[in-house]
Amino acid sequence: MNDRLRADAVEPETTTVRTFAVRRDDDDLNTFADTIIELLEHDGVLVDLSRHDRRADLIELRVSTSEPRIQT
Amino acid sequence: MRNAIFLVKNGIGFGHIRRALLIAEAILRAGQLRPIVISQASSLALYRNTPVRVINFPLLHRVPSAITEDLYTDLLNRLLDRLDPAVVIEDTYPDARYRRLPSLADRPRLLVMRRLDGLSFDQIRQRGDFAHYDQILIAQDRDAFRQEGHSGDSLAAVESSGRFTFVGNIAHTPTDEEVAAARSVYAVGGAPLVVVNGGAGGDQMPDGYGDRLFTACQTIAARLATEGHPARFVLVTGPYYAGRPLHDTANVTVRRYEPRLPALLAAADVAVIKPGNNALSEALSGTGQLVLVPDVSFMEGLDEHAHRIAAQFGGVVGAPDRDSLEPLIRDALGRGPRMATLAPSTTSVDAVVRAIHHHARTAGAPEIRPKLLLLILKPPDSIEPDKLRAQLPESLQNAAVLDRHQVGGVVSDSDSPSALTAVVDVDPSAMPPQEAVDKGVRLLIQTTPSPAVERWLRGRPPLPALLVTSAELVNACPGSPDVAQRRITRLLRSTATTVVLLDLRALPEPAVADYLATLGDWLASQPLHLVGMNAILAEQATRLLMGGLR
Repeated sequence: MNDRLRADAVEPETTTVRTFAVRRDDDDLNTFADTIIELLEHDGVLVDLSRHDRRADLIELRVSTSEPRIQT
Repeated sequence: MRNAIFLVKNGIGFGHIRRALLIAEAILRAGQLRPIVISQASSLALYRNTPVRVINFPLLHRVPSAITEDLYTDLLNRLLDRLDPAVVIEDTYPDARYRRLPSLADRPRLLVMRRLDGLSFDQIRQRGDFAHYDQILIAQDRDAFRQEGHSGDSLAAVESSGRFTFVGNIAHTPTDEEVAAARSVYAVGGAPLVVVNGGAGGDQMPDGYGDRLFTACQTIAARLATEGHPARFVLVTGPYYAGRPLHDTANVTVRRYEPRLPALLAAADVAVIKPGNNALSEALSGTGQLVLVPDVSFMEGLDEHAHRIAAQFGGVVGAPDRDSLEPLIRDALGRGPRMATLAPSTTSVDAVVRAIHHHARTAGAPEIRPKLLLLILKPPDSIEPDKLRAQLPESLQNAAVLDRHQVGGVVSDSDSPSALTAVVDVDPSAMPPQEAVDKGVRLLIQTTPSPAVERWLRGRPPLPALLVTSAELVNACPGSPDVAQRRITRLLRSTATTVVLLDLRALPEPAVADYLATLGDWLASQPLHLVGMNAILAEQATRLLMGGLR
């Protein structure tokens, strides 16, 4: 993964929802976008797309799960 | 509920995201819009406890594959298209990537802008990058902005274009309880508290700023400890810190990230900080002595800013090494509380929230502006300007009357609260440009181009710049207002705005009222607005935002 700081305790814990293979034709970007929009229905959700493999061929879609994020 | 989208990215720091979250959380509390922060950041630490929805991308310009960078941009566009934002808010640096997204075309767009140095502001303005925003909210007060050394053109654009609003500093101000809690945790037994912070810890240049700052402070703390000095140091490195490992000692606490940093800085007896906007604001809200350690900065001019702050609030400026910092920290520890503090701005976030709501509400009903005409009447010699103004028909109430009794002939907006004026065909020998500006003159109206005026302006350019516009001179013919009508029609056929100086001196005094009534009735029936001087001034100032030099 691209960020060595991820393991640091200051970062919120996130879990993988799915991945997206950049160079594969059968991975549909519209479906990927729809999944993200669905995740946004939850209050205070943190969606992280910043993780990818070393060549940035595989993107991870992650959401925060364990942090007790403040709700209003 | 419609979405308010915050587009923000942070390279080496946290400032843009912290500011965006402060505003987004206020939008969430107001309940009229659903805020979503779309960021580019390497650390998610700031998002741990916010109730705001967040989508975080990597820093797109650092993605190692151009194909993937394009895909991320495409994905961002599709997400924005689906989110259909009522308003978009960006922070400080206009981003061409966002500007080119089809999903953001024609959306109401706001820019919240913290301080920039004068040269950088000029560069952004001259590139035309400010022109894409409906409103630019400057997170400074007017006096602080003027101290940045902005150019005359930038000052004129900010003052007169109508696009800029000063909202005051935007930063979290800790409560007294938060400050007391921070002291109880870190200043055990009432020990003097030295807080060291370099923002989020990233280095602007590969010069090891963070490494040098924190290593120096750890060494200084060790020397004080051996002398039995009671001071305790807290080193808040930020998650992007990549220097040598630091470790806790008897009088040093190391924190990679401290969510209570605003309170900690306000609680400090000595704050050793890189004077970025957030850390500086938080330190200034307390009474600790300031040791400002500027880093190479991006468009912030931190060296000059640090010296200005030290002069204004008290404090010293040092370099990130032991030789520089040790005497400064020792001296600061020997001083009492700093007397000058930064009063918290209680209205700045509210002002931004109001602007966001305003632009979100008006998004659905844009209006096409009619043509604009500034009509300046030059009275007959036998009629005093005030008398002519008093006898104007209702339809010409917005027309300006040239006051020939003032130097150069002055035009002012009667309803203008700022009492700014324009001068028609200025006489360069009458006064220097700065004196004219200091008297409230902002616009020069010329019926013929004047090399003498150009030399006058370029020789001693005033602050703010005097803007220049041309006017068409029309001589009123007795009994024939249609001459003026045809000229105005012709002028506005190819432009949206024009200025006409209508010379009434050829009219016999008894004919003036009828002439003006006929002209006024005709103007009222045309698709145009008679506007005052400020509208023309705004037009000229807006040109300074369009990327072209005057």
